[in-house]
Amino acid sequence: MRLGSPLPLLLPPLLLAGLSLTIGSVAVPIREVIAAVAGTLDPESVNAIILLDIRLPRVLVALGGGAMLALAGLIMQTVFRNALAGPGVLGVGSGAGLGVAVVMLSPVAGRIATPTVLAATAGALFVLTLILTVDRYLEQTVLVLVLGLLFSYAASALAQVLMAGADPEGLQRYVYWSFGSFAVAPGWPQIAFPPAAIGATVLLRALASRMDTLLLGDLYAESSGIDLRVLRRTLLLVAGVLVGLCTAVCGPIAFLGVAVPHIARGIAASARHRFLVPATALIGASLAVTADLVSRLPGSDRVLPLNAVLSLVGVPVIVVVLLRSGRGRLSL
Amino acid sequence: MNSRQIPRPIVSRMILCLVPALLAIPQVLAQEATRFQILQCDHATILEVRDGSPGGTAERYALVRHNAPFVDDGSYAAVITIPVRRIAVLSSSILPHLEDLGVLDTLVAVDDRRRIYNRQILSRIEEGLLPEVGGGARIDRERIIAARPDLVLYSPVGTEDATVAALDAAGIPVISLADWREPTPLARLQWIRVVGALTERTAQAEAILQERSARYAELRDLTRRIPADRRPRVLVNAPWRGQWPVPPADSYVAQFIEDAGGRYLWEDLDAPATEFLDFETVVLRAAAAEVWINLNAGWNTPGDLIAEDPRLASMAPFASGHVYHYGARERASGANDFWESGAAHPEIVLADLIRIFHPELLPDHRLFYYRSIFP
Repeated sequence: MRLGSPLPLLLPPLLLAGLSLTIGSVAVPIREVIAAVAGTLDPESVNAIILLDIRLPRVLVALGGGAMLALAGLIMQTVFRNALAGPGVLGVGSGAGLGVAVVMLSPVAGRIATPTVLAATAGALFVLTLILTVDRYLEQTVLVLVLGLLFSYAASALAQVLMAGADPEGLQRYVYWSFGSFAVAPGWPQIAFPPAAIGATVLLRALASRMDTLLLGDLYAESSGIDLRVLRRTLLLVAGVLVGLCTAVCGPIAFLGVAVPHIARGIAASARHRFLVPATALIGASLAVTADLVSRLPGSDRVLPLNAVLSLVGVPVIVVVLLRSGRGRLSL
Repeated sequence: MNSRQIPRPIVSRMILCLVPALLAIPQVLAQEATRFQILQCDHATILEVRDGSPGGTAERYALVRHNAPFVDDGSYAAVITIPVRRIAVLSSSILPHLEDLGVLDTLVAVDDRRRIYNRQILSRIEEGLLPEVGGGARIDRERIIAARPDLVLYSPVGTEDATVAALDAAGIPVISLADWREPTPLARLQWIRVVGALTERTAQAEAILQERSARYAELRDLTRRIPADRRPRVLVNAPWRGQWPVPPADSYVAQFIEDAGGRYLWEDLDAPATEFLDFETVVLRAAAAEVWINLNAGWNTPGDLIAEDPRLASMAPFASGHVYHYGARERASGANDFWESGAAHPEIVLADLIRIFHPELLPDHRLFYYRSIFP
C-alpha cells in the first residue's frame, strides 16, 4: 500500500524517539522516563543524567541530522537529476570533512563549534559548485558520479596531508570525529538540529513545485518562468549548509543522504516533491534514530559503529536502485 | 610421567636452547614478563618475543658476540651481533632503558620528536645529530636505512608489517616490541633486560630492575592490608564522542590501582584488550567512583573537561575534586613523560597513585607524573 499523504510518517520518528529514550545499555524504569519527560525527575539522579544529558541530546541530534542529510540527498538527486547523487557519492561529505580537518588539525585546534561548522559548510559548497559546473558542461550522469568520486578522493587526500603534520591531540580528535556518531555532548546541536531540519523542510516544501519542474528538464522549467540559475543555487546552498552542519557535528554519516529519498519514493503514491520533501525528512529522522539505537546494542554495554549499521540499510537500497535503473540509465 | 606431562615452559626452554646450541643448559632470565623470554646458552643469548605483532607468532633472535662459534640453523628471525652499537628506537617507552644503562650514545634514530620528552635526546635532534624517521603510518623506511642502524626496535602494526619486511630486505634486523602489551607494570619494566642483553649491560639492567622492583614491592606492601571498604573506587580514562575506553581487569592499569590500594571500577571486565563502552553504562557505574585518573591528552583543567563535554562535570569524582591526570610532565609538543620514563619507573607511578588514594601513607611524596586538574 502506498501512502497518499506524508502525515502518517510523523508517527514513526516520534515512537522511535520515545523508544530510544526508553531503552539503552542501562535499564531505566519507564516511570522515570515519564517523570523525566514531565520534568519531575530529580535532575541530580544518575537516571536523570542518563535520560536528559546522554540519551536526549543524541535522539534530538539523530532526528535532526537524519532529516537534514536525507533532504540534502533529495536536493542533490533533483538538481543533478541523478538517482545516485548524495552527500557521500558526490564528494560533498568529503568536502565538508576537509573543512573540518582544516580547523581541527590546524595548530589552533578547533572544537565542535562555529569555525568547524563554517569550514565544513564552505567545503561542502565548494564541492557542490564544482559538481554543478562540471554537470552543466558534461551533462553525463555517469561522468558526474565519477568526478564526484574523484573530488572525494582529492578531499580525503588533502585531509591526510593535514593529518601528517597534525599534533597528536588534534589528530586524535579528528580520528574520533571521522568515525561518525550522533552521540554528541549536550549543547547547541541538540537545540539547533530539530529547528534547522524543520526549517529546511518548510523551505523545500515551499519550493516543491519548482523542484518538480527541474526533473522535467531545463526547457520545460524555463518555459514555466522559473529562473533555473537562482533555483539551483538556492537549493545547493541549502544542501551545502545541511551537509556542513551535520558533518561538522556528527562526522561523516554514510548512506542516509542517498538512500532515504528512494525509500520515500518507494512508499509514496506520488513522486512530487510536495510529498517527497516531508516524507524524506521524516524517514531520514526515523532511520537515523533507528540506526543509532541499533548501534547502541540495547541491553549491552558495547557499541557498534553507526556507519556500519547505516551501511547495512543503505547498501541494499542502492543495489535496488541500480538494478531498477538498468544499464547506463541512472536518471530519476 | 610422560613427555606430555612435562610443564610446557620447561619443554620450550629445552627446545629453545638445545636446537641451536646443542645441549647447553638453559638459564631463564625473565620471569614476570609474559611477552619475552631470555635464555643464556653456550655461544648465544636467545631472546624470544611473543606476540610482538598482535596475532603473530613468537619470534626468536640469537644475540651473538663477535667471533663467537655460533651456528645459525636458520630458525631465528635474526642473528644480532652484541653489543649492538647503533640502535634505532621507534618507541618512546624503550628510550629510558638506554639512558639508565648509560648507552644513550647507541641511539641513531627515533620516531618523532613530538613523542619524546627526554631533554638530552631532544637536544641531539635539534642539533641535527639524531634523525627522526616518523612513526605509525608516517614511517620513512629510507631514513631508517640511511641512519645505518645495526638494529631497529619497533612495534609492528600487524603480522605483515611492511616496514619490518623492507628492513629485513635491507639486512637490518628488527626486534618487535611487545612491552606495551605486558599485563603488569613490573613486567613492562623487565624489558630493560632486553636492552641490557642487546647492549651487554646485563648486570646493570639486573641491578636497576631489582632496585625498582624492590621499591615497588615495598610500596605495594603499604597498601596490601587495606580492607576493601577503605579502598577508593577508581574511574579511569575519558570519553571520545560517546564511547569510553575501559581497560580489562587484568590490564597493567588495573594492576597499578590494585597495588596502590584502590578498587578498579571494572574489576569484573574480562576482555582481551581495552573495550569501548557506551557512555551511559559508564555514568551508571561511575556514580560509585571516588577518584578519577587518566584523562585525554591536553585535558589539564576542569575547564578543559567541561569544554569537551559538560556531562563530565556531573561525575562524582569531579564534583568532589578528585580528578588526576598524568600530565605533570608534558611538553608543548604533546610529548608526555608518563609514557616514556614512566614505563621504566613503575615505583614512582605507584607512589603517585598511593599518594592520591591514601595520602596518609606517603605524606612526603610529591606527585611526579600525576597532578590534580584542580588548581
